[in-house]
Amino acid sequence: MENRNGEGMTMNILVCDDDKEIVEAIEIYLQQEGYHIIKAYDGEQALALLKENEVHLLIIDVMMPKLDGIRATLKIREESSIPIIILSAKSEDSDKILGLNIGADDYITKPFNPLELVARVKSQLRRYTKLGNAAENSQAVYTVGGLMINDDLKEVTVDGEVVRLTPIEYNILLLLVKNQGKVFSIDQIYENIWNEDAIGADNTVAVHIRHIREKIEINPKEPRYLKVVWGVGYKVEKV
Amino acid sequence: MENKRYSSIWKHICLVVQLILTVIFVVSVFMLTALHSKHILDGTNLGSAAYQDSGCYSKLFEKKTDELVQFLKLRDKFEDHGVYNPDKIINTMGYSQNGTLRATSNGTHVVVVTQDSEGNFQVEAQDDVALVEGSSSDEASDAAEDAKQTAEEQQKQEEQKQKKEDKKKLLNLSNYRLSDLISWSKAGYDKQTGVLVESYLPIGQKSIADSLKDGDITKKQADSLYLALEQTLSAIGDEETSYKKGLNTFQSEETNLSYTYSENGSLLYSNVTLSEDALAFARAKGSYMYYNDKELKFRTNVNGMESYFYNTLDPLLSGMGNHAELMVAVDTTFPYQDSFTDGEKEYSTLRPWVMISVVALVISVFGWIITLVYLTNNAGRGEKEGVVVLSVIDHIKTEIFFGIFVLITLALIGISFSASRSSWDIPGMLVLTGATAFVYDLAFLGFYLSMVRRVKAGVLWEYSLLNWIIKSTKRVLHTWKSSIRVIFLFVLNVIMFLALGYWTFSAKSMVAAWMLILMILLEGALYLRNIVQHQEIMKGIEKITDGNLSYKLPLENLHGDNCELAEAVNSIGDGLRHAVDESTKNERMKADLITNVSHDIKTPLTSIINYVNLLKMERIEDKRIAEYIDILDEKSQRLKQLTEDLVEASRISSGNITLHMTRINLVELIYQTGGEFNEKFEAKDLTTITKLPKEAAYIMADGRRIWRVVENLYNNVAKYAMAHTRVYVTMEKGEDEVSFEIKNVSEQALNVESTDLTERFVRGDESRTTEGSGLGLSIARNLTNLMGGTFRIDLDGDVFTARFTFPLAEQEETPAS
Repeated sequence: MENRNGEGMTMNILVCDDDKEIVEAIEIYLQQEGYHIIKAYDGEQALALLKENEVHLLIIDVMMPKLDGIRATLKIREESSIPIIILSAKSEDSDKILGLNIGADDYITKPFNPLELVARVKSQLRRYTKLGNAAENSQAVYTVGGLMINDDLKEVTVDGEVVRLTPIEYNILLLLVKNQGKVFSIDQIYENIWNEDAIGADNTVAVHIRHIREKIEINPKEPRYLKVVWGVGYKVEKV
Repeated sequence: MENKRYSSIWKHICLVVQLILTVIFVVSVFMLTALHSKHILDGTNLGSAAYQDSGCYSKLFEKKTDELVQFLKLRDKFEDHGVYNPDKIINTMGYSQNGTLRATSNGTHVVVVTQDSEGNFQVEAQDDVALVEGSSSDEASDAAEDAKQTAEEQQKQEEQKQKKEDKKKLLNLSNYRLSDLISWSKAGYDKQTGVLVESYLPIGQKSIADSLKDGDITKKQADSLYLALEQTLSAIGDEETSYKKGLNTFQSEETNLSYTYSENGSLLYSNVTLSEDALAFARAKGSYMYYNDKELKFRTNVNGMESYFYNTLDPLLSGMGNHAELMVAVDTTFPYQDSFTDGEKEYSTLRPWVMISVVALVISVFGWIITLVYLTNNAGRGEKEGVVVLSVIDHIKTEIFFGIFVLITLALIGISFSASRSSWDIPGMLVLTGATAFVYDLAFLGFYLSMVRRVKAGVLWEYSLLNWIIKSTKRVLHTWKSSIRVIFLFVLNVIMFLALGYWTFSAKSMVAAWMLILMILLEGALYLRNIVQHQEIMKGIEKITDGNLSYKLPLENLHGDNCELAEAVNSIGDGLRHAVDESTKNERMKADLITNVSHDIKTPLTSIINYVNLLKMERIEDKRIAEYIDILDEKSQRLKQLTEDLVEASRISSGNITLHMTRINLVELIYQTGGEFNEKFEAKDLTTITKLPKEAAYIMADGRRIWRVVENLYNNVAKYAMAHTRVYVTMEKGEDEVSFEIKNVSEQALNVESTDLTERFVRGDESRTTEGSGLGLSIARNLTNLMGGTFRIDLDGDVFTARFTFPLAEQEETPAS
């Protein structure tokens, strides 16, 4: 199975980490998905390979000899807009924020789930290659990043893949996507979906939300779309 | 350096100059005093003045005039008609009583002695005669008065007549020849058994002793005769000598002083023959004094003579005769050698010394002050700038040093007094005064400069005896136990109080009353101060207790025990701060170490997880191998969880995290959490009994962190609760706080202390076989505390209860989104 872009070309992914075993493991997983892997073991090598090859996505470690991932990302961003996923053992919030702020598109902490990595790579590539031609003319279509709801067909797709939701789950997601950025409390969601007053609220809404997350998110504990505002409610973040 | 040595030499020169100046000062003062006492210096003429205008000339003139008047009186006594008469009759009664033999204005006791042609002496008391005459005329006019009164009058007259007779008899018995009296006086007179031996007899009479023996006179009358005779004898010899001296002085041809003395217009005594008016003559001579009692005329050109005359000479003159006219004149060309020329010589010798002394005085005073200022300025100045060099004597206790100085002062004053009493001539006195001044100035400089050095070095008080006593007392008190000290001070206090009280009320002493009031006020003030200081210390301790460990009690205003207490509190605060700093530092270092180690663990762990996963993806026929791979997968996942928890736990416990506090509805959060754990609980068949308030319960917290707390508690239940049991989730909203509680039955017997459960790596089961890092409760507790809540765990048998409480946030209807 070969993963190709719109013109049918094989996608090139540059993987850069000073730990060879990690690079090789990633190569195995991504080759299974049909991507072509270019390997680098430090930042300078990565920069050189980027110039020599047409690279569609970069996976880069932070702590590396010669040139670290952060500086390399900064340099790459000076001339290229390819998706960059940072892979790091640094799991602090501040590290993640730093990585995303300097131009990385995603930040995955080590040790990572290889399947999650693959999912994120796919997601990034789909968004990158389909950008611009994703918009459809139907008015009943709502999109948030890679998440798209077609209300006419009552269909939800994430990065182009169809997700199956129950009617209540669908209505909750639709409500949140329609009102992007707005936080809904459990009571508000209940009143909107069930059309009755929330008396003796219970876990019902929260359980549905979790189910939705499990279906649409790559890592439900670190959701990209449906976020939990603890102690306040839920929302779908504007992208 | 050279400059300093130069200044040291200057200092010594200055010192010597100062001493010399002191001597000059004292000597010139002494000189001026001596000159003043000699009347060479008087206030009116500081500059050069002619001898005749000087004070000493005036004094000499006065003295000579005085001598002249005395001489005139003696001439009166010893002369008849201007010639010395050795045969002159002297009445001892009259002589001894007023020293004169001539009629005076008041007329009493006046005896006129006349000598008739045969040489017999006629002695009459003229006034008594007059009295008798007056009485007889009275008798005649009052003849018509009654007989009785006449008889009384007659008796009185009889008595008076008798008295007159007695007096006459006495006067006759007291007449002696002048030459006899003089030779008797000069030879000396003897007494036998208290009675005068009569070497000479009264003129024409038998001796007093014989008269007494014959019964002519009474014993009392004889006694008065003897007394008069003795008094006369004791004086007449000297007076004769004075008279003779006067003759040489005033009657000599070679005298610069001329005089005339007249009474009632007739010339009585003189040493010149006048061819013109006396006043005109006097004026021509140069310096003069003229007095005319008749015309009440006084003329002089001698300074101060007028007042001297009226104060001193007039009374003497008026005792001599009626309408006296006295002229005294001095020839100011001084043609003859006498006391005036001697005076002039002395004056011209000593006069320049007035100016010299005044100039020396002024110079020495200014010089003394200047050198003193210089010495004061340079006292204690050593080689180094700003360092005061003390000499050996500066270490003598201030009071003792002062005492020595006072003793020296007193000794010198004593010496000066005893010296001034004994007679010295001027040069001797000058030497003595100079020496005393030198010694005293040396002592003064020693004392003064030492005091200056002490003040400069700031040790005046430190080196004082009083300071030493106070310090020693304090030290002694300090070595005592504080209880003994308090008792001692209390007893001392009571004794003083009682003593002053007794003194005040029994002796009614105002001083004691004031001292008592002062003592009470002083003690009140001390007590107040103590309380204020105590409060300050309490405040400081409170601050330190509240966590301000770097707070320092200010020690400046504290005294005694309070100061020590404050110091102790400060050092305790220091110790605490140090310990806290140290432990915070240690926590941080530990957290950093854990973080770094975790990073190093994570990289190989990533490979393990990846390759285990790859293995799982392989089609493995052997079920055992598949099972092993599953175990590897499970444990690698657990290792991942552990490292993540470890980092977080260490960061939280060291407080090294940033909190984003927002308004959180805890009720909403619990519903959200319930949704997250719904299936985990169902998997273990745990039934949740939830009791939450109907309305929202807002608290201030970091949403992600509070979720972490609740998540950890739910995870704990999911992991350790016994299957098929109920889990009780309760929230209670109080007045100003809300508490959340989750209660479950533990699967394992809990054989640990509840407090240990929140410690890191402690789990209910000690085998550590189940999943979980043992950090969950620790993280929950630390996060709760960091966000301002309280966290506790209770164990009751197998029932495990976790509870946290947060203060309610202020009600606000628009929660932060």
